Order: sequence, then structure tokens, then C-alpha cells
Amino acid sequence: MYYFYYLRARKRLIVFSSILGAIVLLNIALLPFSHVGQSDFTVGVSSHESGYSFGGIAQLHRLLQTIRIPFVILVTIAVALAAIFGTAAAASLSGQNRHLHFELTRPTSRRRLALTTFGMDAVAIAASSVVALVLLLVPFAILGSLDRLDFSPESFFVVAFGLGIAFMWYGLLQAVTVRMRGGGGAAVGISWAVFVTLSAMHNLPASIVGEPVVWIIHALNIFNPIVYLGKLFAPGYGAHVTSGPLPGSIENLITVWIIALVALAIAVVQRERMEV
Amino acid sequence: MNAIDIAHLTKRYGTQLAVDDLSLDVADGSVCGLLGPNGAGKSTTFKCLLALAQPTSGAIAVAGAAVTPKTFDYLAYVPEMSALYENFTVAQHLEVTRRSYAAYDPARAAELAATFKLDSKKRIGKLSKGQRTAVALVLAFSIRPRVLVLDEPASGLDPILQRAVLDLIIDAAAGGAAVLFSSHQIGQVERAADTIAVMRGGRLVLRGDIDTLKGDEKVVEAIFSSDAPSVNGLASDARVRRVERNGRILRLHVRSDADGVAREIQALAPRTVDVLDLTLEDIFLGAVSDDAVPGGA
Repeated sequence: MYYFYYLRARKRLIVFSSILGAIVLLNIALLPFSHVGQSDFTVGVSSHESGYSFGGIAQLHRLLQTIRIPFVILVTIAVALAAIFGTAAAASLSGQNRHLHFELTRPTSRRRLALTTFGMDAVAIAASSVVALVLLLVPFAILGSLDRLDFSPESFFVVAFGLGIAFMWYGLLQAVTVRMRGGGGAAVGISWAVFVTLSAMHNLPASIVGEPVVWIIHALNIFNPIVYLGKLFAPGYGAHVTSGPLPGSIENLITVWIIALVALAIAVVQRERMEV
Repeated sequence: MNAIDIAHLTKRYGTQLAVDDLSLDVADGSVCGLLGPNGAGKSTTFKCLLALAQPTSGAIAVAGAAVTPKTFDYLAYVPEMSALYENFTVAQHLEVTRRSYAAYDPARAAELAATFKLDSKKRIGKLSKGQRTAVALVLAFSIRPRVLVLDEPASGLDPILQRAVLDLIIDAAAGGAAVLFSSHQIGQVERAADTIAVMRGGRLVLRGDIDTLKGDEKVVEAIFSSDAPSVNGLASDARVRRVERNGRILRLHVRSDADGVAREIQALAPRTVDVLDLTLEDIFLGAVSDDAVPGGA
């Protein structure tokens, strides 16, 4: 069955790369017509304050010669895109449920089949972050400005945290959808609505909704990948990226990975016990 | 040692009893046809046999051992409904099979694909129901399995390919494989199977060698000018197992002395009286009819 899992993961990755590539190419094509200000690249300093205001490729190139761009911003965007890619792959066990008479009558255990599915998807999710990062670098390469990117060790943390968020989301969806005979894709869509809503409710004042409701929302948000993605894109993030506190703590990093692994383990156990 | 051994299998879904104390075995080199009306428990039996469902009680062994993933190295299964991947091609399914089974025989697969006239480049989603069944059969037989479990294996196929499937089953058994297959087409079972097992309401109601079952009974069939008369006396006769009246037709399933029973019917002045050999259809219908005696064989 590994061959099918590989083919499926490859197809998803090709579709993801094509869509993202098309968006990047479109942006590159529109560059000559765009208006570029320095505030687009540095947080907290507007174009009016800096005095820069350019339009077109030549201006953008000149601008890039005057500023430095934290590489970690690109990494953050790449892992966030990988999290989105992960949700698209997250109903893969559910998708196999129409084929169980074929899948489960092979000389391979259910556990191994499930773990292989996860493995293939995990590689694809990680690869999607690499693809996204490479595509984000393309405009800089075209402008000859790769040397303006500032690499910092925080990038490693962002990769670990961002992929943790992606796998947490993926794992939660696998655990919820593993027994579903259909509608796995719908569950993925609903998860977006649920997580975004819970995230929006995170700061509701207790004086309005009551302490228990706030407590429940906060408890549910421990499992909310959107909340953790929010930490990656915290306001003012770019300004403190090289010197300030990290976007999200080590505790957050450990939490998302533990939730991811526990959710995947639950999905495997459910698959092993599932009757056809 | 039997290739398939099912002992006292019971499967409940909540309060519903799907299979009730079923015991069945299939020897190496033999073909067993599993018959039964819809809802008799055949598919549930297959699911339990293949470890797709957990028996409530009872024991199942294939080649003397409990069913594990390793069992599927030599057990091939063709489900009634296609479980293949619609978005992948026939060739990709063959490739998955090649990668999964050490015993996969590419020459055999090519030969079978040619027999069923399959285009290996076609996606499963573009194939008819019969062609999908054919793909499943190619995959199953290409690993030269020791045990075959086939659920309606000729479903959707044209008569020529149905014959090819039956030949494959007979050939596999001649090569030493054990085959358990279900079919609603009694003619197929009659042609391919050595033994039959008939299920009704989750229970095994008849089991035996086809030739022996056929030899056990005769049918005395009488056709009258008007509605067939009642034969209450004969219905309780020890020689008669069952009486069917259907309009002008009177049919008696007779255990012994069929000619004597025919002479007694002759006294009722029918237009014709014949003593007929039992067909498998007669045996099946007798086993699943309301007045059938469970475990009658």
C-alpha cells in the first residue's frame, strides 16, 4: 500500500506547489506595477517615517540594498503554509475507509499501514514547508537580493514550532475522522471554522460571558492550532526577532508536539480496533 | 488439516445476531460454495474470517493458525463491492500487489489481464462494475494463493468471463488451493463447488457434498388440470421430506421410494407425474424455505 500513499502524497504536494508557485509568479509579474515602501519590510517604521517610497522592480531592488530582512519571517510564512497543507492531508485515514476490504486484506498490519500513512504525510508536510520557503526565496533571487536576508538561530525554533503546529492539526483531524466513512474533507473545513471561532473568543472578558465559559474556551484553545499560529505571527514579531523573546515559548513547542503525538496514537488505536 | 476452519462462530451487532454458532471447514484442494438469501450472514462470515470484524465468540483458523496480517501472504480475497482506488490505474494496482506479495507472478497477472481484456492504463473509476471485479480477480489470482475467499466473484461479468472465473476457481482448487466463495447464481456454484454450505438467518442450515445431497432425494412432480389437491397423508409420510403446492403443480421431496410415492400420486389423476433428480436449486430452496429443518444435512 505504501506505493499508493506515496502517489497520493506526491500528488498533493504537486498541487500545493503549483498553486503556491502560481501565486509567487503572479506577484513577480505584477512587481513592475507595484508600489513598494520600506514599511513593507520592516515592522514599526512606516514609509513616511523612513522617507522611502518606491514603485517597480528597480525601486524595490534599490530598497533591498538599504535594508536587511529577517530570514525567520520567510520561515514563519513557510511553516504556516505547511500547516495549511497538513490540513489538506489530514483526512487520509478516513479517505481509506472506502477501500478497507482492499487495504486490510494485505499482508501488513493495520498499525503499520496507519504509521506509513502518517510517515508519508509527514514527509509531504515537511517538504511543503521547504517548497514554500524556496518559492518565497525566488523573488529575492530574481532581484539579486538573497544576501540581504539575515539568518538567525531562531529560525530553527520557528521550524520546530511551526511543524509542530502543522502535525498537531493534522493529528487532531486524523483522530476525529479515522472512523468516518465519508465527510473527512468536510471535517477538515469545519475544523477551520471551529478553531478560528475559538481563537476569536479567546479574549472574551469574563465579565461578559462568565468565568466558566472563559475557562472552557481557554482549555479548548490548548488544542487550537490557530492560537499557536497566532503566536508565530504575534504583533511586533519582526522587530524583536533577533533580540527579543521567541514567538511562542518552549512550553508551547512541547505542548503542540505532545498533542500531535497523542492524537496520532489515538488514531492508530482506533484504526486497530475498527470493524469493517 | 483444513485450510479454513470456522468453529462455533457467533457475531452480534448490538442486539442483532448476524451469525449464530456457525461451524464450517474447507479442505485444501476443494471448493465450497456458500449460499444463502440476502441477510443470511454470508458477508459477516467473510468479514470475521478475514479479521475485518471481531467475532463475538468462536474460533477461526486459516492453515491451522489464527488470522494475522501474515495470513494474507497466501490468502486472497475478492469482495463483492469494489474496494479498489478509483483514481489509480489498473497498472498501479498491479504495482501495489507486486510490492506487497513475494509470490506475485507478473506473467500470470499479464495472462489474466489479457483474459479479462483489461486495459492496464485505465483508471479504476473509468471501469464498469464487471471490469472492476475482473481487476480484483487478477490481483487475487496473480499471487497464486493457497486460500481464496471470493464474494460474488462473477458479479457483473458477461457469461464468457463468468465461465473464465469458474475455470480459474476449479483450476486453483486442482492446484491445491482451498476456495470459499459465495454466489447468488446457483448454476455457478453447481459447476465449481464440491461442497455447499447454506446459511439462513445467520445459521448454517445445510452443509454437504453436492453429489451426496443430490443423491439423497428425488423430486416427484405432478401437474394437474386444475389446482393441485392437498396430500395431507403424504405430507406426514416418513418417505416425504417436504410438499410444495403451487397452483396446478404438486412437488414432493422424497427421501426414499420415489417410484412408490409417484404411483400414489398417480391415483389422484394428474395430467403428468415425473420422478426428477434433485437440482442444487431444489436443495437450496428446500434449505431456506420456511419449513426447512435447520442442519438438515
